Parts: sequence; C-alpha cells; structure tokens
Amino acid sequence: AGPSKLDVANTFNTNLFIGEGAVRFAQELETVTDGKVKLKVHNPGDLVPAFEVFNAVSSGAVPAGWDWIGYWAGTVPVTNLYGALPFGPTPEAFMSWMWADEGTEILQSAYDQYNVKVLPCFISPQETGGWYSKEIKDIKDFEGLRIRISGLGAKVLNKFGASTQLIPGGEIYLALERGRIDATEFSVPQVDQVMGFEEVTKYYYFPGWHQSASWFSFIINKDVWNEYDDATKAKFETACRSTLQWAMAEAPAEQIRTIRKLEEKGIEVKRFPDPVLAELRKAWDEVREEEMKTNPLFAKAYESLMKHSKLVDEWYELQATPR
Amino acid sequence: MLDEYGLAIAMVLALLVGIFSGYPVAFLLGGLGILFAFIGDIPLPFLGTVSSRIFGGVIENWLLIAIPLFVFMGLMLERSGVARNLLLTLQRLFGNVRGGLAVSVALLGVVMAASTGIIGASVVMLGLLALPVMLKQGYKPEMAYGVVAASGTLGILIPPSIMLVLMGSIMQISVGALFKAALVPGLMLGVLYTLYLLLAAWFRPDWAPLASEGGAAEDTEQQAPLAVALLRDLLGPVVLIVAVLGSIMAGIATPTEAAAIGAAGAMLLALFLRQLNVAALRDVCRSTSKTSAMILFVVVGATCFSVVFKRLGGADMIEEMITGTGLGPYGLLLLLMGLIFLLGFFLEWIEISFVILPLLLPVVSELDFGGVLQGDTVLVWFAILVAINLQTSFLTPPFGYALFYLKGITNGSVGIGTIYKSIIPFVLLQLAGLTLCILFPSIVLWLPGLSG
Amino acid sequence: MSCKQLRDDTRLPGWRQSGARWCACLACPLIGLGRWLGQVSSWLVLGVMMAVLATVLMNALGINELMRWDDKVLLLGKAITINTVTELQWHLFGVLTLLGAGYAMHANMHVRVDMLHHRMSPALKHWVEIVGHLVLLIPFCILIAWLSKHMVQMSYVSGEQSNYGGLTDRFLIKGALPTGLLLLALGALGQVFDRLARILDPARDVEENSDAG
Ligand code: NA
Ligand code: NA
Repeated sequence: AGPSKLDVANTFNTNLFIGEGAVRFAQELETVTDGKVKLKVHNPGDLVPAFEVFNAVSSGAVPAGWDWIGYWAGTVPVTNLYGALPFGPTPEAFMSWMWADEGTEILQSAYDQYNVKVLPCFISPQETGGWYSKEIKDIKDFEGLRIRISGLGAKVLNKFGASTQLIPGGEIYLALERGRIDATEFSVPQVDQVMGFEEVTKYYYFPGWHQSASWFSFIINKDVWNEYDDATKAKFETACRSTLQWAMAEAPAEQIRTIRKLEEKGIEVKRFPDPVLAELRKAWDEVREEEMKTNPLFAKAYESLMKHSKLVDEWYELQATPR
Repeated sequence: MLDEYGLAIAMVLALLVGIFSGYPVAFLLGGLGILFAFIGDIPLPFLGTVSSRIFGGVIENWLLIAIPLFVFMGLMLERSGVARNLLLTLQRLFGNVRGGLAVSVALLGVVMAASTGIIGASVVMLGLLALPVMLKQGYKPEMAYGVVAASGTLGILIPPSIMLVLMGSIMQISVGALFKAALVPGLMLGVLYTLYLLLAAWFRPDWAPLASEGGAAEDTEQQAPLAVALLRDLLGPVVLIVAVLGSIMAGIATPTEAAAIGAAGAMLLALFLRQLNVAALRDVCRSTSKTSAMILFVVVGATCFSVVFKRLGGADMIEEMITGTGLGPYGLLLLLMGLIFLLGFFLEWIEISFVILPLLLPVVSELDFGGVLQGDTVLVWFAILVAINLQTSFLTPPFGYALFYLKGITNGSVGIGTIYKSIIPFVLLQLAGLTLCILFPSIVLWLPGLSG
Repeated sequence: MSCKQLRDDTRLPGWRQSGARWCACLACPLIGLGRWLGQVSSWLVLGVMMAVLATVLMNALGINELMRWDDKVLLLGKAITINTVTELQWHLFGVLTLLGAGYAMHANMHVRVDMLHHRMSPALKHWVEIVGHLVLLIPFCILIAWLSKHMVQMSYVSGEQSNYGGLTDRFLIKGALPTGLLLLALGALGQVFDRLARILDPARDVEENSDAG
C-alpha cells in the first residue's frame, strides 16, 4: 500500500518561502490521509546536494523530492518553460494551463523515461528583474554587463552583449559586493531578502521579464508512486492542489510588504524602461524560434501554453473594469 | 536510546576504534559507511545518494578548486626558497623578540584568512611555508604545529568567509552583519595566539630559540643589511599577497578565483628568482596532486559516512537531545555549544550548518537573554558563537581536519600524537575566546552596531 | 614497491619465495598504472589555473563569447563562452582529484592516525592495510562506482549539458567518477599484493622514498 513515511529531498532550505512549500505539502498530506502518509522533508545537502535531487529520485536513491522545475533544464530541456519562461503568461493563466489543460501532461511525458512522477504543487509569482549595481537606462547598458543568470533569459541577454555567468550560490554576495559581477537575478523578494543583496547593490529592478511565473513541484519515484492505491494517489493530488492554493494566496501581497522593508534599508526599486523591455521582447522571439527548432517538445508545450493563455487573457480583458 | 540509536552509536565507536588502527582516515570513513549500510539493512539503492553527494559536493563544487591552487602556491613558494627567506627576514625584523617567528606565522595566518575560507588550503599552504623554517630554527615541534593549524583555520572565521555566507542564508540573517560581527572575535583570537606565543617563548626559551641560537644560524652570518633584506625578501611575497587580496577587494576575482592568481603569481615569482625549471614545476604539480587528493578524499569518505550515520538515526538522536531539556537560556546555550563542539569531532562544518543549525534555529530564536540580546540580535551573536565553535572543531582530536591536513604534508615524519599534543593550548585559547564572546556579547555585536 | 627482480632469500621456504614473487608480479602493473596516471594527470593543476585565469580575464574584459562555430564538438558544443571556461575549471579539478587519490595512496600520503600504528611491527602494519583495503576501500569503490551507473546513464541518454551555455556532454565528467573509483580499487588491489609480497618475503620490505613518484 506504499510507504507510510517518505523521505523528501528539498532543493531549498525550508526556511525560505519556496522551500517551505514542501513542509506545507507534507502537512496537507498528513491531514488528508489521516496521518497514514507522512513526509520527512530534508534540507538540501542532507541527503543529496540540491542539483542531484532529480537524478536521485529517478534512480530511487531518494524516494521523493521538492524542486524548482527549471533546475533540470540541463537534463530535460522543456523544464525551462515551466521554471523560467521569458515573457510568459500570468501565474493565473499558467496555473489554468497546468491544471485545466495539458501543461502537467506534457511535463509528465518528458519525465516518464526517467521513471519520475511529477505533481506541480507550488507556483511562485513572477520573479524580480534582479539586483543591479548599475542603472539600466538603455538597451546598450547590457553591453558587457556581468550578470548571474541562467537558462533562456541568459540567451536573450547574450544577444545584447551581456556576459551571463554562473557564480556559486555562496559567492554571489561577495561577487556583488566587490563588483566581480554587476547584477544577479535570484528569486522573489521574500526569498531574495534572505541573501542580503540589498546590502551590496543599489537597484532592485522590475519586472522579471525572464521568468513570468515559476513552478515548483513534488517529484516521486514511479515505482514508489505505483505502490500506492488510487485513493491515496488522489489524496496526494488533493494535498498538492491545496498547497498550490496556499502559495498563490500567500505570495503577492507579501512581496510588496518585503519590498517596502527593503526600500527602508535604502534600496531603490526601479522598472526597466519600456523601450528596453520592447528590445528584450524582440530578442526573445529570436531565442524562442531557435529553441523551438531544436526542441520539438518545447515547441509543442509553448504553442499549447500560448493558445490556452490567450483564452484566459481574453476573458479577463473582456471583463476588465476600472478599479 | 540504545535500542533505537544503537547502530548510530556503534558507528561512531567503530570510527574511533578504526582510526587508531592507523588505516587511512579517508578510506575508513567511506568503508565504514558501506559496512554499516549492510549491517543496518539499508536498501542498496539508498547508497546511490553517496555517488550524488560525491559528484555534487566535491567534483562539481568548485569552491574546492581553491584547494589545489593554494596548495600549488604554497609548494611553489617553498620550492623557490621565497617562503624561507620571507620568514627568516621577518624573524630578523623582530630582532631578539623570543617567539618572533611564531608570531609572524600567526600574523601571516590572519592576513591569509582574509583571502580564503577553505580550511584545507590555508593550513597546507601555511604549513608548507612555515614549518620547515620553524623546525630548522629549533622550535619545539609542538609549538610549530599548533600555531600553523590554529592560524590556518582562522580563515573560516575572518571575513570573507564562505561559512558565514552559508550560515547567513540558513539562519535568515544579514551576511554583512555577520561579516562585521566576526571580525573582532577573529582578530581577538589572533591576539590571543600572539600573547600565548610570546609568553610561552618567554617562560620556555628552549621552545622557541632565537635565530642566533638555532640551526638557522649559518644563514644569518653573512647577510645583507636588514633594510636590503627586507626589500629583497618581502617585496615578492607582499606583492603576491596584495595581488590575491587586492583582486578580491577590487572585484576582479572571487575568493576562489583569487587562489589562481596566487598560484600564477607564485610561479612568476619563482621564474623571476630563476628557481623555476621543468623539473621543479613537475615536482610541484605532482606534490599538489597528491596533497589535494589527500584532503579531498577525506571529504569524499566523510560524505559517505555521514549520510549513513544520519540514515541510522544519528540526526534524530541529536534532535532528541536538544529538545525537551527544560534548561534556561544560558543552560541551553551551553548545551548547544557543547553539542556542536562534540559533533565537530567527526562531522564537517557544511554538514553541521545544513543539518544541525536548522534544528537549533527554532529553539534559539525563542531565547531571551535580556537587554539587547533578543530576536535577530541573538541570532547574529549565536551564529558567531557557532562559527568560533566550528573553527575549533577543526582543531580538536581525534577528528580535526586541520590536524589531518597538517599530518598529510609532513609525509609521515611526524606522529599524529605530536600534532594532537601541539594543539591543546590553542584549543584552550579558542575556548577562552568563545567564553569571552559569551560573557561579553559586545565583542561580537559592537562592530555591526547591534550592542545597543 | 619495487618491480625489480630481487635475489630470493634462500633461508625462506620455497612457497614463500614463489608466493612473494607472484604477488610482486601482480602488484607491479597495478601500482605502476596508478602512479603513471597520477603523474600525467598532475599537470592538470596548471590547466585549472589557466582556466580560472581565463575566466577572470574574460570577465574583466566583459567578453562573453570567445568563438562560435556550426557543428557540435565533443564537450564544447558550438561555442566557447566564459561559462565554458568556468565549467572547465571543475571538470579538470574533478579528474585531477579522482586520479590523484590512487597516486597519493601509492605514495603513502593519505592521512592516518598513527599513535598505535607507529609501534606496530611491519607485518602487522601490512595486515592492517590488507584487511582495510579488502573490507573497506575496495567494497566502497566498487559499490559506489556501480551505483553511479544510473547517474551516468541518465546523463548520457538525456544529452545533459550546462544550462549556462557552458560545456556539453556532461556524461563525460559524471563517468569520470565511477572510472576514478574503479581505478582506485585496482590500485588498492595492487597495494594488497604488494603488501602480501612484503609479508611473505621481508627482504622485499625496503623503505622507499614515498615521494619518489
Ligand atoms: Na576568510
Ligand atoms: Na574535530
């Protein structure tokens, strides 16, 4: 009937909002199963390092994990779309595609060959545009800009001559403080504030164009998953939906509260100028075309997502009233 | 507790027995992990976590790249004679101050502390530079090993420190505040070392002979005037240190990258002094490879040991010990400090930060010591206390990594017993420093402006 | 360890002489291989250094992409970027570390707590090593190498690569882990034979400069 206690390898510390999701999911699951299935959430490094979670769940070394989906883009390229899609849809539209259209199915189809079952249980609102030591007034300001950013957003910035690079998590703070890099993107304000970047940069940029909404998920080894009966599987899903609802409810207002606190500490909140965003958007079209050419599953998912989110947007536009 | 955690306890005991057999520590740690996985009937696939941990924690963890690079730098400076001349000249600078050489080693340790937070790298580099010179001058070996190990580990405490960055993000406190908070305690420890060295040398002159009395005398006979010697022997190393530290401060390099600048600089310096040829370079490369593999395989073995230890209930056992003691704030603080100190005997700082700290956090953030010591301020104070404690754990026998690394570079010529003995006064100094920070929290809180 | 033919000690029983000869013959190539790989790979430390310096330089000059071409090349993919060089650092570092382990073992560099070890007879020291290698090190290496199979396979099947536009073909460095561990196990086996030879024929038990390799 499936194990009554599951070890879950978290890719984030549980004291961060995005890692707390795993704890929340564990609570919900314990409630709906009457305590028959308990999750023990392990901080990153406790069982395996964060970047090894997918591999460990796939091999069965660890039965389950909690992740940011985009972490696996090196292995499963389509996860870039779920983790960090530039100029993507709103969280509401994305959520709708995942749970009322084929979003989850497509992701699952990519995970099948790795023997991993995925439950997308947490969406974080749009991330921020990042922490900058320099002001961005013109698209030319990206020329030679040294920024820590990964994935598709990085490819967009490369088009404008930015030097996108990877700096290990523990060294970002120092690299920013000393000016080894000029900027970094990280997460939502609630998570960013823990990193102390406000102490070492001047500007906090918005919007997070490189990442419209980002998904986090509970992943479980399929052999373990299939040991559970259908009723229990349904309870996992219920707990998952409930966690998702919690995340969506909790997040948006909290980000603004956090930003206010950061502003008090002297950080300047800025928006990328509209012409800059327009240029980035244009470059994204090119990057996306290349990506769709080399990666058919990405193309399929992208077209499906856009088709669906257009319907959602249209509905909201039709219903828009002055507030 | 014995029924439930019997295997976890047995594992620690087996480790203690095993290390005294003299079998290499790295292999013992890894092998015991596997052995106890079988004894504890842990499903085989679980050990797949070990390969993930080795790949993610060692190979892909490029903070560790600093290890071979700093080791290379140390070996190159030793091979080219730069290190020796530097320390001898420093010794002359101190004139007839007894223990002057040891004090200069401690100072060098503090200076280097600012450039690296990787224990293995700084202990090995300092050891390669300073040990031969100190021993040649007739220093009591215990004194020489102690000062190298202790000042080599200061790097993890004195900012910039990767350990503090990690603790900041785990405890949700400002890294900047932690950096500031760690500075005074770190320097204070340096001062404590210095005082001890001067006093010890004063009372036991045979422990720290002057250059004129020791084996180095023949070198000091026909030497250039001090000013010339200073310029000649200090210029290169000073430029090198400035290049390493400066490249971090100027934002040209991260601390890890600065290690490569140091390594390249040492090579250039040797070239400039006409001490570099293919044979020398080959020897340095070969020694670097062996020395850094020696350090890193202790980490590889430990990663296997600890994941099995935790799986057998080790972490739960610790959690049980912490919660439900019913102690007051200071009682609990002492218990936690004692616990971390003990864990430091056989766990790594990364392990302790990631696994133990989160367990302690909810308990600690509730503590109210009165005055300014509440809320976030308690956390900053506590973090620094833990940091000093962890730094000490590198020095405590039987499982002090700094001691192992030191042993590794002496190539079997020194027994670990001597090294264990050598470290005792420094561990006591560490504990004294820790006690001072507990009794006078403003040592920690003054610089970040939290002392109210 | 010595591969040289020693004149047999005629005071020993014949089975011990021939046993020692056989063991030495088996030990010789295994230890030789580990030493040789260690010596060759030790040059990689210069590679690590150059790669880091290249990263620093490219960063200082604000260069992201050094060159780009059309057809995929092993490991490099289609371009050399700053992240190619950054990731090259730990690729080289990984190989250096993995091959260095066996090298350090043959040079007797791995740290031991020798308070009691010092007082043991040479034969007892050899037995500690033999039992340790057979019970602890070799099982560790073989088991972890075997359990790494999934990691390497998955990396190969998925064509795993950097998500920062760095190196491709991640399976190569992932495959280096089991390879390195298996080589270490082979080296340990060589040590076992070597130590057996020394026990069987104490005349072979000559101190050698451990840093000679
Ligand atoms: Na430091
Ligand atoms: Na210790």
